[in-house]
This record gives sequence, C-alpha cells and structure tokens, in this order.
Amino acid sequence: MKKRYLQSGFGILETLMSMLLVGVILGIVARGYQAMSRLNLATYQMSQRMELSAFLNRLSYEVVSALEITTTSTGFSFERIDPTYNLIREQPASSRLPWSDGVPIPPPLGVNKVDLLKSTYWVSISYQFLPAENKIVRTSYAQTTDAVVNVGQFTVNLESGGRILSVETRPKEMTAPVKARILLPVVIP
Amino acid sequence: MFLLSFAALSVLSLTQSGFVAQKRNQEISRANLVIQSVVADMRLWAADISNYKSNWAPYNRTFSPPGYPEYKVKAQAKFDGREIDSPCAELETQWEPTNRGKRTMPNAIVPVELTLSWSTDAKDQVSILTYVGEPKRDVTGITFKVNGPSKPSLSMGDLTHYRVTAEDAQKRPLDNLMFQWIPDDRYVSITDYATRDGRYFEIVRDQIAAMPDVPPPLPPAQSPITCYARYAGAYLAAEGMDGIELP
Repeated sequence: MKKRYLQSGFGILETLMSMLLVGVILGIVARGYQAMSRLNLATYQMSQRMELSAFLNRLSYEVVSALEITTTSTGFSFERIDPTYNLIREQPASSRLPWSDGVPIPPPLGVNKVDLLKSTYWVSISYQFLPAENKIVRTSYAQTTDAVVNVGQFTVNLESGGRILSVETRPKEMTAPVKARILLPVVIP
Repeated sequence: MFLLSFAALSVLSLTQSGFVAQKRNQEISRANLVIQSVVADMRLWAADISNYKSNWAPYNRTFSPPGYPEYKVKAQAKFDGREIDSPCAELETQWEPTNRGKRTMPNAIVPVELTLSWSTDAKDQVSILTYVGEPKRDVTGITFKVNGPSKPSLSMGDLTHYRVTAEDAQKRPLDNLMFQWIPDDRYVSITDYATRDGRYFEIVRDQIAAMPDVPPPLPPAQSPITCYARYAGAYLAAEGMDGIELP
C-alpha cells in the first residue's frame, strides 16, 4: 500500500505564478510612478503659469487707473491718483498707516477741494524685472516688494498710441508665455 | 503587496483628478486674460464715435482673437443701445409717475456679451456681459434743431411748446444730451408737462404783473426764450431761438 504524505511549502508552479503576479503588480506600480512623475512636473508648470496669470490679473486692476505710463527694457512705471489720499487726509501720520513718516505728502490743511489731476497727489508705482533673481518687484511709497517670483521673461509694450499695455511674461525654464493686454482708459496722452 | 498596490493606484487616481481640476483652473485663468484682451480691443474700437454708432459688425460674429488661434469668441452686441437714467435710477424713479418724467439718456450704453471657448465641449467656455459707454462727443460745430414755438403768440392762459434735439458737426445725433430752458418768468410759467430732460418744453402765459397803485408793466412784444445744453463742463447755447409774442 502506498503511503500518502502531506504536502508542505511551495512547488515550482506556485513560485512561478507568485513571481509573475508580483512582476505584473510592480510593472503597474512602476508605470503609475512614471505617470505620477509626469503629472508632478505638469502640475508644477501649471502652478507657475497660474501664478503668473494671477499676477497679470492683479496688475490689470492696478494699472487700469494709470494717468501716465513709461515703459523700460526691464518693466514699466506709472502714475496714478494716490488711492490712500482720503485716508491720509482724515488721519495723517497715524500709526495705523504703514507710511506714518510723512510719505506721501498730505494736501495743505484747510483745502477741501483739490485738483487730483495735479501730480502732487499722484503716486508712482513701478514693476521691474530682475533677471539675475528671476523675479518681478513692485515699488511704491519707497517700498519694494516681490510681485512674483520664478520669472524668466517680462516684456512690456505700449500699443495703439499708448492706450493699450501689452504684457508678456513666462516662468523660468519654460517657453510658452502668459500674455495680457490692458486698456488704459484714463491715461493722459 | 496587494494593499500597497491598491494604495499606490488610489494615490495616482487622486493625483490625476487634482491635475485635471488644476488644468481646468489654468484654462479658465488663461481664458480670463484672453477675454480681457478682447474687451480692451473692443473698448478702444468703440472709443471712435463712428464705430460706436455703427452696427457693431466686428463684435456681432464669431472670431479668433489675434494671437490666440486656439480660442473662439462669440460676440453679441446690442448696438441699438440701452438707456440709463441720470444721475441714477434710484433717484430718478421718483419722477417716473409724473408727467415731467425721468432724466434718461436713451443710447448711453451698448451691452456686449462675449463667450470665449477653447474646445467644442460646452463647459469649456467663459462668458462675460459688459457695457460699453458712449465715448465723449466732440461738440465743436454742434447744431440744435428747435421745433417751436407751437403757438408763437400767447394770450393769457395760452400754452405753447418746443422740442429740441442736437447734432454734431457730422450730423450724428447727440441723443443723450439734456437741455435747460429759461423763459421770462414775469409773464409765463413752465407747465408740469415740460420734461425734466428738456427735450420737450411747455409754458403757459399765466403771470399777471399787477402791483397796487402802479399800472402793470407792458409786456415786451417778443419775450425771449433761452435754451442751452451742458456737456462735459461747457454750456452750449441754442442759437437763433424764436421767442414768443405777448400781445
């Protein structure tokens, strides 16, 4: 009579099947990892573009009230009526205000009606590209802040007799630019 | 291993969903800049009064904005214009039930609807409705067309009226202009039918200048009527206005 033994451990078939399954799963995961890497890169690039788009939107709202505008090779500057004018008049040199040291100059006391188109009541704002630092800085009230960083190009042109400001910028290490064209409705020719 | 694989695939799926949502945000953000560029061009175009008064053909069609061939803009401009009240509807509403009426600028704005799409999918689009105001008009060489007085000679209790319109030097109507009238109020009164915008002016001869122990003054044979419009800070007088006879 033949004696029966209980089987224990893996046979060659089970081992091969297990290795095949592991290989398939690792293959899928590896493909997924590759896809995720590509997605990460694309997401990063999109974030850069969206940051520049948001910057151009902010810029549009600000520059639309420009009375005079001057472009340079690295950016532009413009003059507008000081938006803090009323605040300063009501509460000059207040500690609530970030410019309590007399900048800008409030109008003379006792003058209730002033010509806001006089340059005395204007404020100058500039946006300049710093290629070495890959950023655009904004300067107003003698304060300079970073407007947007990781920038590879910033080109500004005036079109249509100075009535439209064309701005083109692109993130660093990318070729496709983000563009905006802004109407300047109150610019003084 | 299976659990780890499931987790990895789940993360991948979530990442991809996030990516798709971010891509859509980017497209919308970019579309906003493109449509802003189209609006800038349109407003510049409409700043020329000849264009503003035209049928707005460049903005009643579907086109690709210059420099953005992948986008399509469907533009619809209601070039017959819309009226707005001056100084504002809130204040002018109180005059609506009266005969004097509201001060209205009948062709003050042109509504324009712009729809920017970047694919054939209906959700891949951005729409805006914007209003384009009439550009500042050149009133050099303005001419007034005065129709009146309807009755040149007024006896006591008689009514007469005037209508006035204005055109620029190129004979284009200045629809949104409002007028002010100055009659000699020693002899006549402005009726309640004279509109507040001044385009229709009606007076009645009802004043009797009589003082005790003093003979009433003789009215002049012709009482002057003055009409002017105020535009962009300047007074524009209607020349050659016929007054009224006071027999």
